[in-house]
Amino acid sequence: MSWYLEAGNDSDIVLSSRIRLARNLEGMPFPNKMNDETRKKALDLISEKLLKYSKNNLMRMDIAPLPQTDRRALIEKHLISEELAKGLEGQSVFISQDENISVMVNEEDHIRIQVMAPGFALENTYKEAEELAVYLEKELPVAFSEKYGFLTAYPSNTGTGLRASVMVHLPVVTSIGRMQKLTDSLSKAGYTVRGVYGEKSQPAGNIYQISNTITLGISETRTLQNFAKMINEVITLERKLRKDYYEKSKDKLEDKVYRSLGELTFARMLPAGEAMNRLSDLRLGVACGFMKDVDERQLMLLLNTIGDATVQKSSGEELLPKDIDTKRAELVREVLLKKEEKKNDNE
Amino acid sequence: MKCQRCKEREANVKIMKQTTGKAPQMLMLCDECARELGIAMPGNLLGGGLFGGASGNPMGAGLGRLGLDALTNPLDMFASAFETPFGLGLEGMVDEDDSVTCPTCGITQGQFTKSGFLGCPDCYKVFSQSIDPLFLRTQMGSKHVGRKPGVSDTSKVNEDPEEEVPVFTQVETKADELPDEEKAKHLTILEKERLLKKAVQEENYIEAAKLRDEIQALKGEEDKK
Repeated sequence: MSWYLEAGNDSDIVLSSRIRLARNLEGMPFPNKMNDETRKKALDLISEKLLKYSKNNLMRMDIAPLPQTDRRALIEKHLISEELAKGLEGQSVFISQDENISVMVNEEDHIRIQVMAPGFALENTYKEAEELAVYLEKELPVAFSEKYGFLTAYPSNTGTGLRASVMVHLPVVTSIGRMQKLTDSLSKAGYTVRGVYGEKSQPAGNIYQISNTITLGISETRTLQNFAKMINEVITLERKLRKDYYEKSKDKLEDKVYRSLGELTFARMLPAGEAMNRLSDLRLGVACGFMKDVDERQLMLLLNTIGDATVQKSSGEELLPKDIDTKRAELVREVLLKKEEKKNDNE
Repeated sequence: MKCQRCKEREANVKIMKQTTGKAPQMLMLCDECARELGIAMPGNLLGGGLFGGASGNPMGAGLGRLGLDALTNPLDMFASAFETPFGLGLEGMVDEDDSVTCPTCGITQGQFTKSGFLGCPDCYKVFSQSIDPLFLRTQMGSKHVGRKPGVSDTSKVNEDPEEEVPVFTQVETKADELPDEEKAKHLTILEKERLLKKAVQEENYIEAAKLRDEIQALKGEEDKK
């Protein structure tokens, strides 16, 4: 089962948690200064150890031979980055069976360990990432300095090399126009916020990724504690605003959510941004407790499968942009109406 | 007022350029853009843009519209982003700066300043003079306090007290490793770094610049030993 379909903590707000650890090999240039030959050499060294990692069975996928659609689909699943999708010789990703672990090799750094989990789960996610990191640090000569810690290609990651992030759904903070203020104060405290879907100027789906930016002068433990504390504040804020909003404008909110359900179950063409925004409404309805026609699991499934490339891939043929919207509408109906049938069967 | 760079977020950082005989130029940035440009405080603008290219940083997207020059040269970015001759008197210096070159990978000071990335682990030693002030501005100091390679540290996650430990107390563990006479100075530096951070937060740049110079002087003495 895919990791994101499991139930997570605080999943009314936090969709998923992610830990990333950056490591590099000693005695080799960073990837930005490498050529095909040196990248391959680094990959060989790292690959040998990763494939022997006994705790998880990691599958190696070289990017260069992959068609563009497959690369986009991996990006949509957050398994690789744009940087790795370039597919240079020696760029690879190692993925665990349920896709919660991915290790990118020769991205910005030689090794980028990434572990994802549903809901708010930083501690266990970190432990899993650290375990793999410690294994690699024992097996490989890792670039480390007593002064600066783990060395990375960009100084902004040096130290712990730890980037913790969560994907949060903040529909009410957004709708009442407080997102900018929240972003600013988080930025002051050393965190960045960005929209996960849609364009930079117009994020879709009210889903944001919040990450730490400080990696030096602070321990891993402290980073995680501070981060968790801050996220808890964000969770409390959104929950309180939701409650107020629902109490004050019950009819308006219910109308909006049911209209969105109508649109998603009847539309024959769904552009990605629109689908994300309507799904955001449903998610809010489910969290407020009145929307019983869908559940969080279906919404998570959709969120992770209706990106352009994933839709394209699942259709198995080359689609035109407008045909992608048609296919997406089909997929959304399939998932949302399945529950209905199940319910009817039970009755 | 909106930030003059991203034109989205509220501006919080004001940068002034004063030249004798000319009207002062002013630039308003939001915290995020200021951080991305590496100009959280005035003084060391040469290091600007160093933190921009990191992955996961929204800068990449923001840069698209500024053209290729902007992507590589933080000072050009100023010029093209604001269409003002806001060159800060450093134009041309960055590109040719080969005062320091890494013997292992061949990256020059100029290339590092331009792109923000280092070429190999040895670069950290070679460019430490420009990296340290950068860390002071953008990180919590320039000393790693996290775990060491090959050693698990997760047991501490539960042991660490829940409440916020003030920066100053955290520091004592670091100072413990030093000989006694060094301790006092080390603590002075750390205390000054703490004050510096506070001054920057309060946008008290005159005080910040003073503290920065004092810290650099103290650190200079340390290095000579």
